[in-house]
Amino acid sequence: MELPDGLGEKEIRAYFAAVVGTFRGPYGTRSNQRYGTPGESFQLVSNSTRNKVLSVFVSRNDGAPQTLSVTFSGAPIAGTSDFAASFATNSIVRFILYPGDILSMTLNEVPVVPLKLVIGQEPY
Amino acid sequence: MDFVGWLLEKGRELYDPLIMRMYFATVVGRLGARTANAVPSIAVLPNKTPTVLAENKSRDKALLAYVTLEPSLNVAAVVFSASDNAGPTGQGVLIITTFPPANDDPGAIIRSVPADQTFVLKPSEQLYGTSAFGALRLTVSTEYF
Repeated sequence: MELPDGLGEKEIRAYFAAVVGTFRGPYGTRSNQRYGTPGESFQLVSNSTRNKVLSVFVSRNDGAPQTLSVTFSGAPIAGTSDFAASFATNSIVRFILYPGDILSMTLNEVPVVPLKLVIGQEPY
Repeated sequence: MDFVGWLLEKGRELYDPLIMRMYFATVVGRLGARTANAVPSIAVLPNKTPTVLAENKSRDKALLAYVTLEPSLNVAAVVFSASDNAGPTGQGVLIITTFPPANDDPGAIIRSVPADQTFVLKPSEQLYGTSAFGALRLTVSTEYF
């Protein structure tokens, strides 16, 4: 069967990463980071593989009751048109990264305690 | 061949059979439609002590695990991890009662199990849970695919 227009191996891998990866939160390569400076952009993860798609989990576990406004971006510094999210403690945001993609995050407000993130990643 | 057949054929070309088993487990399991028929168990979590919730003891199958709260609770904070040493990299999740009480609204549509409370395990992987605030009783349903 012919490939549908515009769909190749990269998109197929992204599809399986999106379906299976959604249920793989505690597994894969783990890391954690602490942040506390508002307005600064941080690179969370990059996909340095040659042809694999990366399923990425970002969760927050500092336990602070404050829900923070953050912006996720595929560029090193987030712009005003990027994906802003309310990020509560114990919540999760998922991303699929193609080869060469990066994921950065910008804090839009001052956290009352240093922000603690858990980042999980698994290639597909 | 239809589109789904094409997609599965491409998946078979790219991945080993385990990934395809995980794929089917997640597709079938994502609505929570197998929770009533999977193998049920109760996990008692002491306060802040990692406890095994599920373990994939098969040689080559994927294990789907649903974690829900006992019906009398509405919400709890649990850190899920792949080992009993979650350290700073465990995945904290605010889990909620998955299904509404039976007498709450008889006509209500059963809600799907949130993805944050559903996990697919590879062979020999374990799923640990740690209660962040007080002791907890969790219902864990598992099914091999």
